[in-house]
Amino acid sequence: MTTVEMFINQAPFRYPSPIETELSHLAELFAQTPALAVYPPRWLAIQALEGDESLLNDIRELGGPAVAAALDASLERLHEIYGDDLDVALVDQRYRFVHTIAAQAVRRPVEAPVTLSDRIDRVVTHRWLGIPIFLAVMWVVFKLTTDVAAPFVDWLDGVLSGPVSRWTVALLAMVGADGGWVESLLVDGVIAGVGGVLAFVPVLLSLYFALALLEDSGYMARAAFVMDRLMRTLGLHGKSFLPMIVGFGCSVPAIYATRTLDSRRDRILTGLLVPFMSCSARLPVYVLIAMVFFPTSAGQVIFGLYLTGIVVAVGMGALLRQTLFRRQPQAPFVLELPPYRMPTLRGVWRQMWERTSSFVRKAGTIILATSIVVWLLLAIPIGEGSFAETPVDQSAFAAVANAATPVFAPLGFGRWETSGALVTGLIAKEVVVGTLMQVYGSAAEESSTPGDEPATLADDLTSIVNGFGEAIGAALRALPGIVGINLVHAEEEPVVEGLAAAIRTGFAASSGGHSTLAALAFMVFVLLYTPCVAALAANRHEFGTSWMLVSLLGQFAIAWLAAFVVFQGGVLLGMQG
Amino acid sequence: MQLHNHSIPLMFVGQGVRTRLVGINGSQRTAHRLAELGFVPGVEVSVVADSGSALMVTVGNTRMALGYPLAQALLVAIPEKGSSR
Repeated sequence: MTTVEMFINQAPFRYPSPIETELSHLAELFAQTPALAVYPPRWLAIQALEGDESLLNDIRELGGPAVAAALDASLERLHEIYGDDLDVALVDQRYRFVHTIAAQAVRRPVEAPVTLSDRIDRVVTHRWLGIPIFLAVMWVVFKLTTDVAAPFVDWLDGVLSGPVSRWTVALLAMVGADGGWVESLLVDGVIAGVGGVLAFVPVLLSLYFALALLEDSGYMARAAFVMDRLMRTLGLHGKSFLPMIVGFGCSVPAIYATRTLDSRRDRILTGLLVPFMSCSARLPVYVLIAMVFFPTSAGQVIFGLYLTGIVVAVGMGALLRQTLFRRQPQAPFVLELPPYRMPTLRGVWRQMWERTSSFVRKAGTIILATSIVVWLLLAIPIGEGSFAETPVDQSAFAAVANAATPVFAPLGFGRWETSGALVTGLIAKEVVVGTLMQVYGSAAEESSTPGDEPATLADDLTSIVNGFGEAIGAALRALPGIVGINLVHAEEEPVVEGLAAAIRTGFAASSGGHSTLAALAFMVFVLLYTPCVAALAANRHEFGTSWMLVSLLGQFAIAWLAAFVVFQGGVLLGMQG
Repeated sequence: MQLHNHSIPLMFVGQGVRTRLVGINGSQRTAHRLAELGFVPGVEVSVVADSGSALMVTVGNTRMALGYPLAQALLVAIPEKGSSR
């Protein structure tokens, strides 16, 4: 550092003489003007000559007529020499200075070699290969988040619903509080609700791992370049693609990421389309439902949902561009592309940790609170039963959810369990899973034999460790499947059988036997419907209340229509299911 | 902005050809923005890839994606073989 500073001190950076004369003249004048004391004088002079409009206004207003006249005279004199290119000349001079330093400090081969970045770019950003390569990359990402993470989800789920629940009951027994409503609150409310969501941490870890790899390697910026042509059909350009990709993680940072875009039109349009990119909170819902109804092709179904989100965004973008944003032109597309780099373990881990821990924090607050509210509503009897001993279909939750049920009846999932889950999902999408676990979990308990085998703490711990080892094995066996080689046929049923059966029965009852179609419609609805409160708050913060309402109502309508088409269309076509 | 002899928009140069930037033909705002990104007269510019709606270009040591309209605004000259600046 010191050598650079010394060098700069010896050769102070100066502009060519006509510009330098005016600069020092103006800087001196600004320095003597107390109203302009907040700005460094020379910096202000440079900005003025470069034509920064807001600073020019400041100088004219704060500096008074004498300063304004001197400024105009300077600009006039320079205009005679440089014409309209004064600002370019100033920037050019800075680059010349940088090149002079670089020429003395950096040794370069005479003929620039073809770098590895060049060679990768020739393939990855190829005009026709670019988009297929991008889709293949995304395919690997989603196989990774479903197939490889699934064994760990099963393991965590088993640990939470088995040993952890048993330990809780045992601890309560020690203080003499077992068997009552406290046990029900902790086991059926907190562990079933929060635990059901926490069990998906492995899915999120692998999604964030993949996103971090793509970002840190430099591929993400190439994806923006490759997708530019496709984004034009949305009335946007490649730069808007980056918030969209962030949207696959979470809509909230994605909406804030629109700040990097150059015009308000692009920001609002991107912000409206971001929620159609399926966020990671929706992934647990797909995983649960797809594993129950499409156990052999869950990965394909989930990939299809992500694509559906993109297709709907394309349609909505085209529609909005022709209507609400008709008269507004888009800003030009400029994006710097970093060279390819090997991602570091530390960088990737930091991103995984930051994003996953914010999810876990959410589980500890918002999801815990909704789980308790849902449990309370489930515990309060409306028909027969007493507090915390209520049959689920007689509970206050069933009564409240029933009010919303007719809306969903034409979509094939008009049951209080699912409509209740969708309503609680407005608070956070992953809560849909927690609520489904709570309402179907109690039904499942009746059908399955309760785990009464007297397990010691040591037994539990061994089974937890062994289970983790088995999960690693299963994940490794799933790895070849990512590229399409299926070594393991007929995976064992991953979701707890009692719960899966309860969910199947529920969907069959609400859809008149077309339970697979209803499940598909349900997932499409979850994909598209109104974003969670956090995303709505971000939307309002960035774009204002009226745009937030457009998002809230518009997405509900779109989701309803799309789910209607899937279910009724499927029934009309006579699809089995 | 005066017109330069033998200069063509970067848009029509084709991939892999080394060119030198001679001027920017567009609004002052566009010109300023491009200059700040390193598109200053005399700098070496070449096209790496074409997505069908934008060009990927190398300017100095940096790599940029530029929409077609901006690629139209950049006027470049192709130096004769063997001649340096």
